[in-house]
Formats: sequence, structure tokens, C-alpha cells
Amino acid sequence: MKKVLIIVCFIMLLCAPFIFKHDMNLNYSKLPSLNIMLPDSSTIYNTQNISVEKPTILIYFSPDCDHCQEQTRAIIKNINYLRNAEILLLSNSSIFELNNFIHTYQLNHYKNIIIGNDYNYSFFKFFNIKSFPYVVVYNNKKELVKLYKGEIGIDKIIEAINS
Amino acid sequence: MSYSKAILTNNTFRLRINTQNSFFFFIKKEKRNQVILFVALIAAIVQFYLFKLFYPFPDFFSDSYSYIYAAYANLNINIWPIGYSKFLRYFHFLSHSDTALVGFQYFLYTTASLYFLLTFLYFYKIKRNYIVIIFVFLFLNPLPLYLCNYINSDALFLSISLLWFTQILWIINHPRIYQIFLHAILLFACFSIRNNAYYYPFISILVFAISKQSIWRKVSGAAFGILLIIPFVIFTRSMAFKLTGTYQFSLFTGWQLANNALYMRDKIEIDSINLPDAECKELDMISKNFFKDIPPGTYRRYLSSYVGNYFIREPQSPLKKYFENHYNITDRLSLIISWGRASKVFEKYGIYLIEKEPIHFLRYFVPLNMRHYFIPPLEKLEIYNLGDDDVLIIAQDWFDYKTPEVYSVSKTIQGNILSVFPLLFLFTNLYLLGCLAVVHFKGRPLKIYHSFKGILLVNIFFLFANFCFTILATMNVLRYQIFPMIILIVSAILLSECVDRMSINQKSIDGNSNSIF
Repeated sequence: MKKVLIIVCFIMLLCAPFIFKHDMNLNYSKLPSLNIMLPDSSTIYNTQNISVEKPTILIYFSPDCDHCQEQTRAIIKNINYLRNAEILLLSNSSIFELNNFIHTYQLNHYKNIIIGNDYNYSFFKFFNIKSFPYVVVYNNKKELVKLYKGEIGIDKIIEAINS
Repeated sequence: MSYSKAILTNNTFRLRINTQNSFFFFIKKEKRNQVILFVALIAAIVQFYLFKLFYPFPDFFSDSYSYIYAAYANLNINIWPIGYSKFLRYFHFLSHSDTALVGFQYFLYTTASLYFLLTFLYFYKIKRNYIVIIFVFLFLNPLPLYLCNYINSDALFLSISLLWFTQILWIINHPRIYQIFLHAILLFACFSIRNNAYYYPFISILVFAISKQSIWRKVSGAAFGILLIIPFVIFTRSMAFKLTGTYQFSLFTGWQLANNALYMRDKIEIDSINLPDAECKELDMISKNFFKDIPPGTYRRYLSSYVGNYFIREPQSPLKKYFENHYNITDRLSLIISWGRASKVFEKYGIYLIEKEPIHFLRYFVPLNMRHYFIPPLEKLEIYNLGDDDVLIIAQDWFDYKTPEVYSVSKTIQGNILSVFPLLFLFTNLYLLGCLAVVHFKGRPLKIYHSFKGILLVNIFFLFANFCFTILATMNVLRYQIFPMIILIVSAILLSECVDRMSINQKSIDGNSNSIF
């Protein structure tokens, strides 16, 4: 009887990880297929069109947020280190505000930066975004590498795309 | 025979006079000890395994990020003693895993507890039931699991304190020269991890004073521990000077002193002309304005809902207002520097008020803290990760988390599970006082009492020092009282053993008296 009890306990312990398994992060583990509107206000761009050979940096921002502006400046300053990545700057602000932002930071000069309007709040809802900036890095297989809530040092982003 | 027993009483008490290796022989020879060892280790593994299923991530609060930052920036001084940050840094070289770190904290605790319990049983014979009580508290208790899951110095401090106290048992019962060095290192380690170790050197002095060894060894033992601390204090003070421009050992002491003093500020009249300097005068002016706008009744009730740190935590408090007016915080380093600079101003102000009005201090600060001593609040232990779903980026990076999200089986269940411990602390205190009264008035001549006298004296002195430190100097929460709770339980058990023997003796005397008549 004692032996049976020990074996039952042992089996229960082995099974415990499967019973209590938590899959909270599975949603983010792959780059989602979502639509954004480009600054020309007519083209719809799907994230699946992003090059499969490059890592992706997704930054959700607001044009009037200081930390987002700081993050953008840091990206431009270090763009040489980020050449091998696709950078997706997303916001739910109006196309007009986005175009001003593009103009201020001359973002149209950088081929690997795409600015988009999250017109149907799909990213916002998908990531349950509560603060800006919101930085997500996917590798070239579109698997999640890092997700940061808040402004993050550019060295961390470079480290993430190279990992 | 590698260990011998000197029977001191014709009852069951034995004082073992041993050779150095006989402790291991004692563990090996007695089946009970092997059972303790085996069950404790298996229980620790199973409990930790299950706990990590329910709480896959560590628990964080503001201090956690401060410790991690100091480790990350390799600082030599921080708002809190630097020992834990150094530990975090060195551990980080071995592993970035949070589970490995929490596991290390828990298994270090288990090892220290085993060493403590087996040493205790080696020197003192107590009833089986009492052994079970200590065993359950040390090894089958959710409290250490929750404590060790924190990224905070409490768990490490508890383990090192247990090792330090075990060393004290050896010094009292079986003094050897190497213990002088071992004890000094452990005392130094405690001192570098938490400010609660401020009173430990006094305990050490008492221990060496009552130990049975030559006078020069007593003096060297007591002095060596302190000698090891002094360079650390000098080093920390010089680091503080480099960082803040002022010499101080703790960047927190000034905040705590001013906080304690402000508890009575609305009840005293101070002539601000006599205050030590212009900064203190300004702080006093802010304080007066603060109290002008506060309804006294509501304010006093509100104060009691804090754990003795209202003026450190509350953003509207005079200390926070002064801090906000004078310092510009841009990053974590500037926070530490400013915190330290402000601490020096607050220290002068706090000391001045307390020295000026000690009676009011005893009346308005101490009773509130005394309530928190006897029923220590769960505070941070009440809720997982302060109820948040995320950790800060610094912790995310330190532990290589992909996302800042952390989760657990429940954020609030720990508050229910641990709610019994504040009451247990109160009950054990009352029980100990009851036992002390019984033994003092009826049982002092008992031989067993004399055999326990050394350790009981040290324990009572420790508990008294902890009580005084807690009610006079600092805020109090349950996580600070876990080690004192172990000492409380052990002391209560030793005294219970004395009371039990007294009743046995009384019965035998009664029996003899009856036979005469």
C-alpha cells in the first residue's frame, strides 16, 4: 500500500507541470498577420509582407510622447547598426500627425523604416498596449526575441536583432 | 569512542563533550538525525518543485529593482546595504536564470536550517514533539518559500543569520579557535546584507563573554568580528562621500530617523532658530505647513495604516516634498545620489527632534511600532508582484526574459496562506513570556535550567535587542521577523522543556511526600 502511494505521488508530481502549464506568451511568439495603413492613406500593408530574411523591430508609439521621440532619435542615430532589420513604426494617431512625424525626423530617407497607421487598432488590441513606446523584436524566422514595454536602450535592440 | 556523553543529571538531559568530527558521527549514528536530513531534503525538493509550478517567476517590488541596478552598475554603495547586490552580481556570472537564483536562496536556507537544527539537537536534548514543531516550522512551511522567491535581501539574510546563530551554539557549548574566524566572517556577511544586523555585534560580545574559554580568546573572538566590520564601515562611508559628498554608512538612516521623529512633530513645539542648520529649518517649515493642512484625527488613524514609514512612502510628506524641491531625478544613479544627500539633512533633523523630545518620541512613535512588532504586517508578502503583471525593464534584462510579463497561480492567495504567521508571532511571544515567568518564579534551581541557561540568556538578549531595535529605530514587517521567530520558537521550546521537567520533579516530590505520610 505504501509503495502504491509513493508511486501515485511520484506520477502526480511528474504530471503537475502539464496540469499547471501556462501559455500566456504564446500569442506573441510569432509575428502576427495584421494590416496597417501607410502614410499615403490608401495602401494597406500586411505584416506578412515583411522580408523573411530580416529581423523585425516593431515599435508602437505616439508622435507627441517624449520617450517615443527619444527612442526614434536613438534609432536614427544608430541606423547603421540596424540596417539588417525591418523597422515598423506603428501608431494609432492620425495620418496627418504621422506625416508630420515623418517630416520632423526625415524618416522617408530610410529604406528599412516603414511607418504605419494602426487604423483598426488591431496591434493595439493584439498586444494589449497600455503605454508607449512598446518595442517588440522578432528574428528572421518571425519568432519573438524580446518585448519591451517602455523606452529601451538602443544597445538592447541591437543585441536582440543579432541574437 | 569518537564522541562521549557526560551525564549531568539523572534525567534525560545530556551535554555532549565532543571531538571535532563527532558532529558528523552524531548525524551518522542516530537514525533520527538521518530521518531529519532525508525528509528535510526531499521535502525541500518537492516543495520547491511544486512552488515553481505555481510561481514560475520571482516576486519583485521597488527594492528588488534597486538591488538589481546596484548589481548591474557594480556600485559599492546603495540605498540598502550593498551585500545582496554583490551576491546578485556574482551569481549572475554563474547563471542568468531566475529559477536558479531563487533555488539557490531556498536551498541555502534549507542547508542553513538543517545545520542549525542538527547542531541544536547535538547540544540540547528535547522531546520528540518539540523537535517536530521546529522541523515543521523550518522545513514544511510556506513562509520561507515565499520569502526566497523574492529578489530581495531577506532570504539571504535569514540564511546567513541562521549560520551565524548556529556558530553561536558552537561557541557557547564547544568553543574552538577556528570559530573566532568563522563567526567573524558570518557576522560581517550579516552586516553587509541588512541594517537589521546593527545589533548583532552586541550579541556576539555576550556570547564570547559567557563562553567557556580563555580570556584572550574571548576578547579576540568578540573583537575580531567587530574589527572585520570596521574596514567595511570606513569603506562604505568613503564611497558615500564620493557619491554624495557626505560621509555616511547608510543612505537610508537619515530618512528613517526623520520619519520616526515626524511622528511626533505635530505634538511638539520647536523653536526653529535652534535647529542645526538652514536645511533643517527649511525642512521644519515644510513640516509645519504639512501639519497645518492635516485634520489631526484622520491623520493619526491614517498613520496607523502604515508600517511605521508614513513619511518615507507618502508623496505628500515633508520629506518627499523637500526631496522633490531640491533634487532632480533623471535616472537610477541620480536617485541614489540624491537619496543619500537628502539622508544627511534628514539625519540631523531627526536626531535633533528625538534628542529634544525623547518622551514625546516614546509616546507617539513607539506604541504604534510596538503594535507592528507584536503583529507584524504581511506588507509586500500579501500580494504577488505588488499585483502587477509586468516587471521593469532592468529586471527583464537581468533575467533574460523575452517579455516583461510575469504570472502566478494567484496574486492574492499568498495573503491568505501567510495570514496565520503574524498571529503565530504574537502567540509565540506571549507563550515565551509565560514560560519565562513560570521558570523564573518556580524552576530556577532545576539543573536542566542551568544547562540551558547560556543559550537562553543569548536568545532572550537577542529577542530583547530585536524588540528595542524594531520599536525604536525602524519599520517592522513580517519578513524582518522570520529569523527572530525561529529564535522565539527555539527559546519557547527550551523553556517548555524546563517547565515539563519541573512538573515531573514536582510529581515525584509529591509522590515521595505521599509515601512518607
